[in-house]
Amino acid sequence: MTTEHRDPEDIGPEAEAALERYFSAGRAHPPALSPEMLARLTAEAQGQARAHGRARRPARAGLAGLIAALGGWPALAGLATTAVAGFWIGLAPPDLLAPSVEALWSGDSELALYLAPAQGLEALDTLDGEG
Amino acid sequence: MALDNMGEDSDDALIARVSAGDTRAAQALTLRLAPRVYAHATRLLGDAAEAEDVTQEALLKLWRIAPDWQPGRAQASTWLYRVTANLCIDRLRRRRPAALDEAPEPQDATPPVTERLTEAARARALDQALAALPERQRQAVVLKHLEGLPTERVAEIMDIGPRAAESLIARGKRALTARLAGLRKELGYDD
Repeated sequence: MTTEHRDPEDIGPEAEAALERYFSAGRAHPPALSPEMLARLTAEAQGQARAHGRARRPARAGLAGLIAALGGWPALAGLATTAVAGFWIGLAPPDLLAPSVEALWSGDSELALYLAPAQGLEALDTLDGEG
Repeated sequence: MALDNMGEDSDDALIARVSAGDTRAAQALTLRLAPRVYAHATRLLGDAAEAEDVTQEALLKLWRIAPDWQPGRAQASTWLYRVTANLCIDRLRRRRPAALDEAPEPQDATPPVTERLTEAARARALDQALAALPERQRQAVVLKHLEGLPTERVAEIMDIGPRAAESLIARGKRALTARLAGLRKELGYDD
């Protein structure tokens, strides 16, 4: 013999349908926020958003501020060109560098002290004479 | 961007914009979420003024965590339903203990005996009957049948398993059916 098992929590199809009419009415008439309250909540949300925006800004202003302090993007480009040129001269110094500078560069600082800066020009004369 | 154009933006996307300082996103998200939070709080508390306070508190929590919000980790609405319910339960527990499971007396004047229930009156009767349910049953029934959420999400919001959620919903509906039958007699409605 089989017995029909019915869930004791089951309210049956008629009661389900009746209850659904109430739920449907409840969904159609939800408790509504007053326009004043909604406006207050919106203003509060916007205030919080602005505060978040302000909290973020200093990080960006730091980089922008540094670039501005250096004279803006054109100055930054000039600075980069100078740096590259300096690096290149360091790697491959020009042949006609004054001997005093060359001595200093090669680490012979004692010799550099005795060579007058103008001596480089004399060296040029010597070269010309040899040529 | 017009607010209408934000209708398709996900809650996650709007939260990210709020945390970047976008006030229009804050407005759009408030218009989207606040009515739902308020309706849920009113149904759980049965008190409009308290529900307004809870709505304000719940949304403020959302704005405060906006910069740390992790997209895709949880739905904003799920998180808000949970926060709202917790705030409501705290308030319900602060009320005098005897009031927790007491049904409030009907506040409206008794309608004419022959009056059939209008939609609005039916919704009011439902609110009264809901107020008589134990808080967890009320929360489960409201989420499932008034907010229209699937049982899995009800369970997620209530931090319980789906079977436990089903059981709470079923018990809540049984109690509601009995309470509404009583109310119909009490108020003289004929359906």
